[in-house]
Amino acid sequence: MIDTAAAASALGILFGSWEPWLVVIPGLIIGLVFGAVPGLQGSMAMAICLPLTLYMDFLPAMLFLTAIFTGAGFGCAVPAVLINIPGTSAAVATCFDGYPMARKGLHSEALGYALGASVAGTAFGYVLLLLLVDSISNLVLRIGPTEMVVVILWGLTLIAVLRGRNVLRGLIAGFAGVLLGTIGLSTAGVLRGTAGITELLDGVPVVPAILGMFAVSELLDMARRRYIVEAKEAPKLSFRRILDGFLGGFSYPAVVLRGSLIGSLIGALPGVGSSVSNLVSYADARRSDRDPESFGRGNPKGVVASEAANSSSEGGSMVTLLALGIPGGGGTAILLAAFSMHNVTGGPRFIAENTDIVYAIILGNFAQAILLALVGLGIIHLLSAVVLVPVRVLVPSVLALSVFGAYGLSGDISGPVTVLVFGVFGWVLKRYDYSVPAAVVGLLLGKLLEAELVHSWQISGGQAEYLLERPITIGLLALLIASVALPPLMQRRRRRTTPEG
Amino acid sequence: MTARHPVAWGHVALIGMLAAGIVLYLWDTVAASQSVANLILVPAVSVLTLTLLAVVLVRALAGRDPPIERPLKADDDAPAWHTAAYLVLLTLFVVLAEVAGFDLATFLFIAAALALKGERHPAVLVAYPLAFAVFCTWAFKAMIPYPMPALLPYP
Repeated sequence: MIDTAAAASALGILFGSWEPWLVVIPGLIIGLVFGAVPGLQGSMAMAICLPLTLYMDFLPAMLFLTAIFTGAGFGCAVPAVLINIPGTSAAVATCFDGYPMARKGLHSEALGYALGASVAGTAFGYVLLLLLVDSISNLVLRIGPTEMVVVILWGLTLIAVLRGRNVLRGLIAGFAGVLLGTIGLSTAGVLRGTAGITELLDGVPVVPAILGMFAVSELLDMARRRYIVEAKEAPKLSFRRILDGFLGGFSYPAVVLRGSLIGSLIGALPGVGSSVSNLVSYADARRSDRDPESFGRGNPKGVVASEAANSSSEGGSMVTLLALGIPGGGGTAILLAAFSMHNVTGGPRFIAENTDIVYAIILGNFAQAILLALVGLGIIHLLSAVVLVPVRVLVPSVLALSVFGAYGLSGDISGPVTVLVFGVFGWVLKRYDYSVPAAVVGLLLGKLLEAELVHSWQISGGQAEYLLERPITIGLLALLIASVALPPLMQRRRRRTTPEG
Repeated sequence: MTARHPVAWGHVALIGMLAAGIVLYLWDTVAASQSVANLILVPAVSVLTLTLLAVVLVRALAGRDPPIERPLKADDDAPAWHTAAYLVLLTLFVVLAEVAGFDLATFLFIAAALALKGERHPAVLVAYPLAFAVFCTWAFKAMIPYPMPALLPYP
């Protein structure tokens, strides 16, 4: 189940030097702050900090970015509990019982429960990944180019189908992203779509484009919002009561385990992740509880279920990223961009050839979960104040940081210009309900999709019958068709039955 | 019966721009080379996307889409032109950063953005943007290996 030699080597890599750990605590703090400010997101922080990882080795870069991911997983619970506004969509269900607890004067305990469940959920997700990664790597090594083509298309389709309320627009965004991703010099050595711009010879600069689409588009949207009731003062927190809540989170092991399992499974599906898992886990905890009526009135189990699920989704989402090189959402899309910045290709061969590095990433993240407890307890007072920082100060500051980051990456003004162009593009897409994550994933995978298609063509000699010799491809194609066709059919059926029922 | 909604012309314009971009790219790709390796993905995805865009366009023009411009949320506190103003400021910031230096551009951008959002306290309007601009320019100049345009001399 676990490759012990690779695990030992991973421990050596992790603890042989202090360098990988130097970036973890700053990463956690950045993630916590971005998660805690309503409107800002962990994926936005990861995008802004991505240029900094250019100067790090691959492992510290991964640990830094995943630390931001982990920190944001808990950070978003802070405003959910204190002001009934989820920091991100991952903490919507945390509001349901977290805020009623705060109104009863139990805000310190609620934050403690959220932190305890986040730590347990994150650790659970990565333990599961550690146990499964070896088997997954054996499985994915059987995947050839035709399977990869279908898997990429399936991933894109799932993001479009499951993420937004508008499937057609999600698909359009994903396919437009794929086309953008193929601009520049193709694998066949043909130059396309550059319009004479030399900066596009190697394709659209992916990292500044992601920075624009994730961070700038969201910030432009936020420019209209106030979000924070500025007259409110930060509520007084008690460290002892936070600690009581933190330990209390572990007194509901069944809720933690079920929530973590739900989060890990849902997190592995492209396009859904923590924004869905917290709601599913909350509904499950409520349904299976002896006193479901107490939910929504300040039941700590509601906070625990939501936070365990949204935090464990991170480990789940790493499965598809590490095994197939396919990101399932914003955070993993940025991790994939970091892979390419370090000339690392994720996918079937990556786990097999770099098992020790993969284990080091997983074990490092497990350690991050424990550090999250310490850092979270240490700066929770600061986070309760950050929640109240006015958006008018935050938005221009973070926009400026995005421009600095893009310049740091490109070394000239082409980076900031790309950020600006894709920021506007992302904002327009978002405004008309086209999925931005689908467009980003398409952009990231466009070139890979084309390369795998060319490879499939070469292997098959252009004969469609070749597919009949690939049962996995046919099975995946069936899944792809089902995932597009089933949701509208189910929706139609539900619409038909609702007026009668 | 499905209720009809007013046509969102902004959405129609977006569909037009996406379609135009895809057609131009398809044209360029076909003109660049007619080899299978070059045409294996782009034409298929382009045609598929154009077809989906046509369906969305028909629905939008027939008023069969639910309102797509997101309704103003209760916590929105500014008119829509604030976003456009931000966009103009950001564009000026990017242009000015290369011409006048990142520190000056950042200072002006943040001060203008604060003023736009109603900040009138002189200390906040000057001190915060100045401190932020100088700190960020200094930190990035120290971190990155490329020269970064700046007005002030930094160690």
